[in-house]
Amino acid sequence: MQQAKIDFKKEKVLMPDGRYLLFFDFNPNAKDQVIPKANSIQIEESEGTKDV
Amino acid sequence: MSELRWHPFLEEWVITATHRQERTFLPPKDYCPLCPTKPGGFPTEVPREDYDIVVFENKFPSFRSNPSQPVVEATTVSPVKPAQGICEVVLYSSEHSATLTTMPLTRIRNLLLVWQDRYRELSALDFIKYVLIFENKGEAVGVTLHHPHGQIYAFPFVPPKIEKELDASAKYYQNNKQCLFCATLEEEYRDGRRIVFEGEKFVAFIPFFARYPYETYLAPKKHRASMNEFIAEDLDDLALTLKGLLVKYDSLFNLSFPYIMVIHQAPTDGKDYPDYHFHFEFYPPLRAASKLKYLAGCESGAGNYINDTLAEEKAAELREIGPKNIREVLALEK
Repeated sequence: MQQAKIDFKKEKVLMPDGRYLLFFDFNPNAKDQVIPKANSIQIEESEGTKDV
Repeated sequence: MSELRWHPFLEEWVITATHRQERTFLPPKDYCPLCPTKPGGFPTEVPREDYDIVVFENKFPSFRSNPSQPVVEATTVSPVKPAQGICEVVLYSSEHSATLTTMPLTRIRNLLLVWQDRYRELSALDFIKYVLIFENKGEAVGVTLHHPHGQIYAFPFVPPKIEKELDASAKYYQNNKQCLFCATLEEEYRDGRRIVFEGEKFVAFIPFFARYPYETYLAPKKHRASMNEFIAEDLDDLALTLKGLLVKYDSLFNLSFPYIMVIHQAPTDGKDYPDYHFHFEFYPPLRAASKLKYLAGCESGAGNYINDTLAEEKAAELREIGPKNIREVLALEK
């Protein structure tokens, strides 16, 4: 399988009730304004790749 | 509380999810739980001022990764087990009034990449046997939130409808050494009357056996079992073909066309499915601008659909409206 270029940035955030949220950012240079929310914990950040 | 209760007459699982009765029902636009959280505004499901595409675990899930034990005892006739799985919500855009149809091609293509990512990641979990990606659009199909979104149900078993398709595909392959869906596509091309829209690599058609007046299948022309096998060019063309079909749907009665859209692809239970063919299925509930098709006595009671229309006529209707080819879809972007 051919590894293609990185298409997006994926960020995983854990919510207070234990559920996860995944932010897919297709424009990694854009700066998102983060609104602080009690007990929101960022637990993982990874680069999305496309296996083709 | 969720659990799986066995239906012994149909030999299939029924998912009970009583907490889903409490879910948010058609809130006013200013209180949409799927919009970004605005500074000073009420906290939505997404704690950011803006987002591109977001996936999160459903607050009212039918399956949970750590489910509670069933509230009833299993018996020989009535097996019951925890509803282990994962239910995700996919937010296509932060724009509340957008629809998949009105989104630019780049966003549709990005969504395809997100679906591909979720299919891969969820399929890697050992308790997930099937990943169902779908969208319910419009109040006519029971939508409770209008914000553009779809869902993903990661099942702990292969759902019965997929199992039936797999059996049929395997049987056909055994007898004919060919994929059943590929054979169906060959017939559709030979006949031509039911083709609705064609890209370079994908095609949309109303199947010969359509159960709904505007039921459409969208599939790769070449054999692919799942999204895992799509390369960049496949995704480009799929975005174009999907948009072409959706714009046609909206043009049909000049309204935001309601539908149930599901993606059927190979199970993720560790087995190989070389004879199964990836495809979208659309079940639109409208049979005319203001008339709904109901699943009534014969459909619900006997499992046999009655279609009041001919696939050939409805396909001609869809073919004639909206974009005729991918060039015309690209022109919509300008």
